[in-house]
Amino acid sequence: MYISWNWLGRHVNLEGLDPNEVGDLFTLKVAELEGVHHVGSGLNGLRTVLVKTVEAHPNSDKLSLVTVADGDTESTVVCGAPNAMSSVGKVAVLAPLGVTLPNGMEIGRAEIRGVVSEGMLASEKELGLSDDHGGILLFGAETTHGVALTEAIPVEDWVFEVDNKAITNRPDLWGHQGIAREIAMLTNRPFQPTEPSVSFGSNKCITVSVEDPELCPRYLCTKFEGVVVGPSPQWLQCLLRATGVRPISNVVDLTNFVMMDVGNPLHAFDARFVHDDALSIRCAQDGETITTLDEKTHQCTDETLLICDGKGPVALAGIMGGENSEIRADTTDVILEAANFQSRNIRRTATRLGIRTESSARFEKSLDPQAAQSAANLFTAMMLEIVDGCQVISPLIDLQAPTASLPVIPLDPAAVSERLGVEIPLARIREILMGLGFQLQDNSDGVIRVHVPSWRATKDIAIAEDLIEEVGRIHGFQNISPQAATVEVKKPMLSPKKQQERATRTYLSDGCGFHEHIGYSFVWRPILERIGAEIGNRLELANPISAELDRMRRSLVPNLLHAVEKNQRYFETFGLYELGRVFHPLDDQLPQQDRMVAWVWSDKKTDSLSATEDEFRALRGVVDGLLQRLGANELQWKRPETLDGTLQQAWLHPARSLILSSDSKEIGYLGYLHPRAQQNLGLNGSIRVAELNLDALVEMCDPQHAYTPLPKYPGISFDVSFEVDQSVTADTLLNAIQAGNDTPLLRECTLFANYHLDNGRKSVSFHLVFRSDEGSLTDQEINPYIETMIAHVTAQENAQLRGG
Amino acid sequence: MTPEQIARIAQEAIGAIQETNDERTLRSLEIQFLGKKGEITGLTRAISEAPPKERGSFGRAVNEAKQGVAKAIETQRASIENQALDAELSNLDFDVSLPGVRPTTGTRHPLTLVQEDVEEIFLAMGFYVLDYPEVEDDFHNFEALNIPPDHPARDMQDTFWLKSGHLLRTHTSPGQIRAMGQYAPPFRAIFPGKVFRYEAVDASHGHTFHQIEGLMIDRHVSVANLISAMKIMLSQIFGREVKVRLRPGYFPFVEPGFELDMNCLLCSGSGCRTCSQSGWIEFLGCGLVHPNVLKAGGLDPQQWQGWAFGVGWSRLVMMRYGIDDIRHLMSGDIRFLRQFG
Repeated sequence: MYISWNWLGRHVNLEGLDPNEVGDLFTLKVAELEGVHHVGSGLNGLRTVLVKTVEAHPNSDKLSLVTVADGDTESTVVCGAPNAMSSVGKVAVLAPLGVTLPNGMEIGRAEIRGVVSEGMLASEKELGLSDDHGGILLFGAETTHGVALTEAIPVEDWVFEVDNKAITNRPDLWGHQGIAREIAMLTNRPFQPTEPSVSFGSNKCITVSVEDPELCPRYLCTKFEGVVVGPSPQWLQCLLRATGVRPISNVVDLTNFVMMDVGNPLHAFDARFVHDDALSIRCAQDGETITTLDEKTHQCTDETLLICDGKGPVALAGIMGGENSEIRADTTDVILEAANFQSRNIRRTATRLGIRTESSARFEKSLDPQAAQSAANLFTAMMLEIVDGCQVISPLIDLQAPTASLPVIPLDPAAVSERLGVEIPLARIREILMGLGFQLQDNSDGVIRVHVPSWRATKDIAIAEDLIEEVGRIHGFQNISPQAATVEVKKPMLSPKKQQERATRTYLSDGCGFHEHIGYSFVWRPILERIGAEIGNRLELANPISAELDRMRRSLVPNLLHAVEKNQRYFETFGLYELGRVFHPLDDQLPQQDRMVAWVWSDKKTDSLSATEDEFRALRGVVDGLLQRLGANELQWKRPETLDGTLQQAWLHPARSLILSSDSKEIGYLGYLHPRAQQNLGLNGSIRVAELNLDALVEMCDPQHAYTPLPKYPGISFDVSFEVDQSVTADTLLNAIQAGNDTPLLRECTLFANYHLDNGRKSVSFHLVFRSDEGSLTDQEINPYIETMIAHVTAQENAQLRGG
Repeated sequence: MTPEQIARIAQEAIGAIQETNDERTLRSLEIQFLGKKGEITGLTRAISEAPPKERGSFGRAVNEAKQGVAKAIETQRASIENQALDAELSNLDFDVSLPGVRPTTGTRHPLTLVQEDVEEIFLAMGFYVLDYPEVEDDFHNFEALNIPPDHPARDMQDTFWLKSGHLLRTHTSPGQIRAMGQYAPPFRAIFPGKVFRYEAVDASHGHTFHQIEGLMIDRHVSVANLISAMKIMLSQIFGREVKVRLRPGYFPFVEPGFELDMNCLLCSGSGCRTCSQSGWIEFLGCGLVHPNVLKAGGLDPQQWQGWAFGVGWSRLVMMRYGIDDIRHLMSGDIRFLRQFG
């Protein structure tokens, strides 16, 4: 919202004050200003001129030659504005040769299509008055011409740009009077509200009925006759323009002026089109429609509040007037509406219909019903003053629902200092509250009874905390010194979940050399198609930011693969991991939102089966290491159950992957990316992925593990290699070795080499350690076990001893 | 051979040895004199053949010669080795300007780095670190936070709705209600998290960004306490004293509510582009917990008070590292990610 400094000056004496300083004060003590703009400056040299004649340019259809008079001096200017053709008799703004406009443009002598232009006629935008560049700025003939622009029109102003979000809770600040009241308080000057006394007419020509007083707590209206619609006086146009409102005509401008001054929106009807001079305020019947003055037709519901005449709707209450009854150039009789509507209902209708207007923005803030009356009075007084021949013929009709009495809040002055943490003397508390319009009533118990003024009573001030804020902000929050809480503090432990997250990051970043990524919780749809994943049962957004981001992720991997796509342009070998939540719908409750960790590992393409298995071992090793770090033991690995490509993780290579589970509950998986997914993604090299459910792991983890005593006696090592068919797994061999040994002396048995031979078989080597707790072993003691074991393995697995 | 002759042989040998300056010549001299077939070794063998009368003096002379030559070789060998080492020590052909080859190390996300710092700061002040869901319900995200249906404040937080009727939390504040339900007062907690706003993406706005919420519940809590905690947090994160200022700000779940500005670290408050020439950067919203919110969290506002803050965690990261575009944070671009620790 734009607030004009000149306008504020109507309500508080601003003499000697610097707009920028007052603006800062406002930001610190009331609400944030997004800026203080100086408008209408740098306009020296510009002249108001009377347009004498307009002719077509001899060499152009779009240009015209405008002859203007600056006193006795006439000059001809080439002009391209569409409204130049109808400018004869009006007053325009001439930028003579040599003048520099506020936007930096210097007016030089120019020949345009063969005609010399002696200056330029300026638009509002070129003058820095608004963004309007639709035509040249034209004033009525009554405007003084032949003088400097700044002399004829009070164009220079400072404009406060108020952050609307910062005053959502302050219905009283949606007009200049409310802002001026605050500034008066901040600058210690008297506030001058505009409260004209008006004598209304006595002709009870209009009838009004409010059918739903809850939705329309107050409705005032009156009728004017003898109105001559024309331009508003310059000073009024200037104020409107400065606050971003386009002047239209005196009647419409006055409704806007009063709204911007008092803060209460008004509506003026052309009385000719209000049938039977009868207004009723009611909710729409189902199927009823209304065409608003922006020529759009809206479907109503039984919640839509309408203003209706004898025939049907003439306005969408509190939001926009109807097209059928708007003020026109030939309007002579005007019915004024000044009302108060229920905020909730206005907000709902405006949201449902997608119309946000200056009016709805105000009503949805819960306006003070008193403001409607002030607005009606001010409008009437100004109509009588400004519009020639205008008479108010009707009394001011005022239908008001009984309202609750204004709140009275008990305030303990000691609580003010205590909550703010700074000592504020009682006298200062009283001074601040009274300055803001509160009335105070002292009680014998020291508690002040604070009477809230009507303009703060609708929603804004309801409890003692609200009053403490009032005192605090005017005192200045920046004047409160920091003060540490005096309570004794024990440093809490980081929760197991947080410890787990930190350990995971440390391991993957510092231990494995992976980079941490944090991505969107939405899954990127196109990637799902490419990796063959089904949309399936996913949480769906009702209002996605784009069609590609309309579902929540169920796994971290798809988006990580998308990141791999982007990174492979720059890197060949890298690991990228993410910790984050995934989402699974649940019936009638919040979705399951498990914390997961996943990583994708991009590497050079391997050149043999043996090398690929080694790579797989490296992947599994990363997972094993992490599980160990997190204290997760007793987990089982198995191949995924289906090999027909219908894995839950469609992107996983069904024959080169493992599922990790505990008590048959799936905890995670690891493996190669499915070759088809890799092809569709256009990824190079070898891509491995893994994903683990951290929430499931944290429950089964015991990060405290007991120490194993060091062996007392040396062991004897023995290495053995077998050649077996490729279908015999390392796991099978390991089991066979252990079964064949049948001795508690075998303490370790680990695979140390694995490679495929040319004959369709493979060589697998193990390192065995035998050890006793009773004493040192000799070869003679263990040789029989080894021989039995070799015989067992060779027989059992069709193995051939290669060495050992 | 007389002892004099033997001594002369030894003298000549020693002379030759002392003139060598390479190991190979020295070795061949060693073989020549002391090897199996060496001249002096030959003399040693001749001792037993010497006439008994001369054997004593001959033997002594031979042994002296042998020892003298052996010692000369040893000395000369040490000298040659020293020379070689000296040469190596002064040889600058060894190129120390070659670029380093680093071990493969990974990185933590800058959001994580700041998160862990903030967590440590607040742990030291007695705060728990908590974590709450991203998909929330209307009650926790709005109603319990004093934002009833059809309240204009809902406009301040353009919301992503799910078809299930749930929503993506628009702020970390729902954690206030959840924490009050989870812990018995008094307690203090922060809850960092991902939040969502339905808005267009540009250099300073993302539809997904990160916030850190803090909540302190106690018997007596004041604005002065709140300012103190905020100053500690910001000063520690940025590693220097920062100036803050509080001004009125409207958040329905706090009363009084504030916007907290920090003096711009780029221009030290003198005004620059980043702070729109104001010298101040809007950093966080905070205030004393509204009694309605305490009630919604199951606490009696007569008994308990609180303060709360919500800070733009993404903003903190951008300020700390001078990142000019919020979109980098969630891009997954390793060229960006690898720059952090």
